[in-house]
Amino acid sequence: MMLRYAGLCLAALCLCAADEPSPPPPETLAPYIAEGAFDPGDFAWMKGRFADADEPTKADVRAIDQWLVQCIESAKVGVRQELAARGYRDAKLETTLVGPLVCRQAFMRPNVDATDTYAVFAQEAAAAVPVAEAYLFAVRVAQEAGGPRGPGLAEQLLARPLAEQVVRTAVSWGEGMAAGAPELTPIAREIVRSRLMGEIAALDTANALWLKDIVAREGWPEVSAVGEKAADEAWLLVQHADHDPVFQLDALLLMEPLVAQREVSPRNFAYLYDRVMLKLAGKQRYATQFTCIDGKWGPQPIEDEAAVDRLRREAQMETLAENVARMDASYGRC
Amino acid sequence: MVLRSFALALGAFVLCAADYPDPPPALAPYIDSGRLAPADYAWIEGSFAEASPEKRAEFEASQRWIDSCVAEAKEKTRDALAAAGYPAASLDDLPVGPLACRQAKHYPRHPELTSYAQLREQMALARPVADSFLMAVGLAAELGNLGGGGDFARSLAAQVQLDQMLGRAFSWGAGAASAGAPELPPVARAIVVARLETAYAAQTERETAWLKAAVAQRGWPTESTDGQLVHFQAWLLAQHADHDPLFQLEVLRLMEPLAERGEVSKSNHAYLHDRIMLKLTGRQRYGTQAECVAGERRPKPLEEESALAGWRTAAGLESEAEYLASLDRTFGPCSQEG
Repeated sequence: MMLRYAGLCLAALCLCAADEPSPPPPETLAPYIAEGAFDPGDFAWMKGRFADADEPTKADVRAIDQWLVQCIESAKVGVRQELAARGYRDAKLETTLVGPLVCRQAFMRPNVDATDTYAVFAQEAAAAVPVAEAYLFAVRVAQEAGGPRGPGLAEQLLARPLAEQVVRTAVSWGEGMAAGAPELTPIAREIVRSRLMGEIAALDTANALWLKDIVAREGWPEVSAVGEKAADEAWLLVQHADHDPVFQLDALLLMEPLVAQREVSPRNFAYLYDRVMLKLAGKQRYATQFTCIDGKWGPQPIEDEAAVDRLRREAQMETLAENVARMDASYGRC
Repeated sequence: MVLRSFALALGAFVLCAADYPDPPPALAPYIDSGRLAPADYAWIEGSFAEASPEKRAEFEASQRWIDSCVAEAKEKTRDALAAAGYPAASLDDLPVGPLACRQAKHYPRHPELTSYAQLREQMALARPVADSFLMAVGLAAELGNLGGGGDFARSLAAQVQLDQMLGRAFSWGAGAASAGAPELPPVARAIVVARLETAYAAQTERETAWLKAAVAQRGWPTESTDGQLVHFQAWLLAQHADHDPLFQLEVLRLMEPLAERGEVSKSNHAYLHDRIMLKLTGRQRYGTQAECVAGERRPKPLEEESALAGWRTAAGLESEAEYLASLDRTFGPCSQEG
C-alpha cells in the first residue's frame, strides 16, 4: 500500500516536471531526502542560519532558501496554467504552498532567533526530536490499529483522516485540545511543531492522491452512498489539500450541484468554497477561514461583510462571532 | 458514584478490593481514584543504594503494601478458581489485585540506572517523550471514528486501538511492532517503557471491564454473526485480561464449543487456552506462549512436547519454530540477560 502511494507520488512529480522543471535540491539537503520526502532529522542543515556559522555554511543556507523559492514559484506557474485552463485567470496563490512534497516539507523549518548559537539550537533539537518522533510513532500505530473496518469506500473514508487529525491537533502544542502536551522550551516547541507540520504535508499529499483517484473513478462520494460522516471525511481531505488547488477547485465544482440534492452538506461546500476562493480571488464568502491577528483568531478578507451571517445561516452554520469563540476554545491563542 | 457502579459491575472480585489496606503515606499522593500517576518517581528514591534510611524505609513500606495487596488478591483468585474446578492454580507471575498495586510494580529498572540523581537527569529527556506518546494515544481515541454510539463493533475497535497503541510500544524500537520509535539512551528508554506499562495496566483494566459488561449483555461474538474482525478483537481483549483469570476462563468456556463447531477461530481459542492453562496448571498445550531463556525465545512449559506439532496443526497454527522466529521479528530478539 505504501509503495503504491510512493509510485503515484513520483508519477505526479514527473508530470509537473515535464512542464516546469523543479530545480534539484542543494547537496546539503541530500542526506535528508528519501523516497520523495524530506525528514528534517537532526536539523543540522539549519546550521548556517545562526550568527556563529562560518561563511560557507551560511552560503549553504542561502542556496537552500533560493532553491525553496524556485521550487515553489515554478510549481505555481504550472498551477496557474491549469487554473486558467478552467477559466480562473490570475489566481492569487499568495500564501499557497505548492510544489513537490520535498520543497513543501523543507519550507516548514522552525523559526529560530538568529542571535542564538547553533550549539544551543542543536542541544534543543536533540531533546525535541524524540518528543516529536514519539508522537508520530504513536500516530502510525493508531493508524494501523484503527484501520478500515471493511473494504467499502465508507469504511475507508472513516478511517483515512485519523493520522492527519491527530498530528494537526498537536501543532497547537500546549493549547486547546493539545493542552495536555508536555511542556517544552520555546525553541523545542518550535522544532516539534516544524516536524509535525512536515508530517502533515506528507499525510495531506498522500490523502489527496488517494481521494483524487477515487473521485476520478467513482465521482464525488455522495451522502446517500457513503453516509453523512464518511462524506464529511471526503470533504475534509479535500479541504486539507491546499498543496493542490486544482484538485480543490475540481472537487468544489463537483460538489456544487450536489448541495441542492442534499448529497453534499451546504456547510462543507461553504468551507471549501472559501478555501478555494481565497486562493483564486483573495476573498471568501462565508468567513470560514481564519488567520492569526495579534495573537487572536479572526476571519481572512471577506467578499461582503454585511451578508456574512445571512449566508452562513443559509449554509446551516453558526454566526461568525460564535465561530470565533469556538476557535478560541479549540485552539487557544495563535 | 462512578467508582461504586464500577465496583458493582466487576462483582465480588472488586468488592474484596475494599478490604485492602490504604497505601503508605509516601505512595498515597500518587494515587487518585484508584489509579497511580507515576509523576516524578520520587516514591522510588529509597530503592537506590545511596538513599537515606528514611527514604529506604518509605520505599520498603510501599513494596510491602504492593506485596500484601497482590498476595491477598492471589489468595482470593485461587479460592475462586478452586471453586471453578482448578484447585492447583500457580498464579506465580500473575499481576492480580487492585489497579494501583499492579501499576506500582512498574517503575524504571535498568542495570545502568544506579542513582536517583541519574534517574532525575534522564527523566528530563524521557518524560516529555512518554507524555508526547500518551497524548497521541488520548487524541487518537478522541478524534477517531470509533467508539461511542453504543455500537458494539465500533466501541470494541476503539478499545483495541488503545490496547494496541500502548501494548505495541513496550518493545520501543526493538522489533517490527514498534519500528519507528525514536532511539533513546538505555535508562531513558527504561523510563518511557515503565510509564507506558503503567498506562497499559489502566487500559487493560478499562477494556476488560467494558468487554465483560458487553459480553454479559450480548453474549460472546461469533464469526458467522459478527464477522472475523469483531471476533478477533474481542478475543484479543480477553487474551490481555491477565489480571482477571476468572473472566479469561469464562471466555475460554464460551469459546470452546464455538471453536469445535467452527463458529470461532481454532487458533484464537488455542492462544487463550494456553494463556489460561499456564496460570491454572502451569502448562500449555499449543506452545503459543513464549519466554526468553538464556537469550533464546522458547515455549513456556508444555503439557506434552511430543504432541505439540499435532496440536498446532489441528488448531491451524504454523510450526513452533516458525512461530518463535516471527516473535523475534515482531518484538526483537531476546536480550542476553533475558
